[in-house]
Amino acid sequence: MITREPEFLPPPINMRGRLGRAVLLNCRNAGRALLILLEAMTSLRFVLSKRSRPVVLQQLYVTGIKSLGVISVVAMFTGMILALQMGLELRKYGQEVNIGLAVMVSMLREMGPFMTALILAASVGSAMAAELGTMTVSEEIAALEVMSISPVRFLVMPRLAAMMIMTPLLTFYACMLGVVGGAIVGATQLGVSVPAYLDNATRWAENKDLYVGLLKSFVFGIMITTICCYQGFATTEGAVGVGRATRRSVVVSFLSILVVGYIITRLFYQ
Amino acid sequence: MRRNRMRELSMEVLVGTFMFVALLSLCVFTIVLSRENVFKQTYPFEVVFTDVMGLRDGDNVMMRGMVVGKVKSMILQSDGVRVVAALQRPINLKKDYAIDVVFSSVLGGRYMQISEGNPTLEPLAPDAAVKGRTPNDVMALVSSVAADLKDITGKIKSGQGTLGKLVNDDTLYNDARDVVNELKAAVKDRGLIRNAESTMANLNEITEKINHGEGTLGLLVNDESLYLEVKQMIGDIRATVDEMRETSPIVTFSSIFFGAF
Repeated sequence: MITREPEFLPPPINMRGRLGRAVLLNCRNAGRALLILLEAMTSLRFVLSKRSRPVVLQQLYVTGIKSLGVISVVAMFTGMILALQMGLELRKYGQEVNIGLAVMVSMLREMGPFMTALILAASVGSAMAAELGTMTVSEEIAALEVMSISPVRFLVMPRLAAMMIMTPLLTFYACMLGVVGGAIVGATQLGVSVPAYLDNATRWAENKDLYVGLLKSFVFGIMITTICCYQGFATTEGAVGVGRATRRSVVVSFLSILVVGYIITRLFYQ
Repeated sequence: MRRNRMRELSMEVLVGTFMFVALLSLCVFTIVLSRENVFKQTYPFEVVFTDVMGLRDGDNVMMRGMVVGKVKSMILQSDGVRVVAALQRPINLKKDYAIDVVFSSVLGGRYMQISEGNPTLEPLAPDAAVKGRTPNDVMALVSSVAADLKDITGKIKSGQGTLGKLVNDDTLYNDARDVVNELKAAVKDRGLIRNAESTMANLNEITEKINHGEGTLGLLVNDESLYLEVKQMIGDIRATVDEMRETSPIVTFSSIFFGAF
């Protein structure tokens, strides 16, 4: 049951009460978000059903193709900045050829998944929260539930499927563009030829770097969808509430990406 | 309706193309990062080392400075480490072959270096076990150098050897100080300075006289006539000697001939 009656809780009597209520409310919100995720996961078996297919396709298009432009610019310049900063320092020791390794490993392990997830949270995630929030305050979600149509299966599952597929692919695309950006800076500003750069980049990077990065982005995709859809469903108080839900979804997504990113890195690189 | 279908179709094409290209690139990139050339034939090559010094899967195998393959896997055995490499071409090892693990740079990284050996020697038997040389442990070398340095500094400290005596024995310092003190005292002695001044004045006077052509030495230095006379005299002596050399057989013959009578 997504739609709930509004709650009117008595104001907390002191600081401790306020803190306790905040902790409890956050735990309850996390629990509800996880339940939505579980329901969406179980609904994934209907992803290829005739009714879901056009919606999933629409979400794949919005998440993947519509985000390509922003991701291209951000990834290319991230690679260029990494190459320039590291190259200038490495040049002091005559080791500027090693920018290939530095850019490739940083993009695969951290910058690729991180930048892609941030862009998707800011563009696609906020749009999800705003869309579902508007549907909630205009009681469209309640109408779906009245008609015995699961809002999670109908609205969350296609978004989750699209993010699960597209986030790793977009991350890989971002990594490759970052490496290309590094090669451009290496060739034009640091005097490192493109073959030498690519040889250095592929000599030291490993498949583990690539696949841990892709796993990270897969987890980020699930997280962004869950957080943003939950924030959309939890919207109250009309247009103001939609704005608040959108802002909160982006902030919580960013913080979760940072924390979970660290935990995954810690798990695989000890 | 038809327009919607067309839009959906173009969306399908775009999404499908993107996914297909991304997945294909991912496959290619995975093969690149695994450093395996699936399209070229490779030749397995096994070497047993006692210690591989941090050699890793995927490190280069080099011969005469050229990359000829990659390290494929390493197996820990009771007698060392079996390194399996995939070579791009077969190699013929001779009896004096050498295979080492070498540092590729100061910052780290290793590669396996193969030296085939002298081509005039017999080739290695095909079933012979190939053994790599035990690599030099850089840290052990550094430790040995540190131990030597410690020994040297210990000897210096205890005053052994020339350097030790120089550092610990005060005699040389005291002698040097005495010499300096004596020099200072000599400089302070007025009589010595006066003598030196008068000597210098005399020398100055003598050289002035020589320059002006006064005295025998002055004439010798400044007057050319003596030089010319000596030159002429030497010429005359040389002519006389030549004349005597020419006439001496006649004189000898005449004296013998007339001596008989």
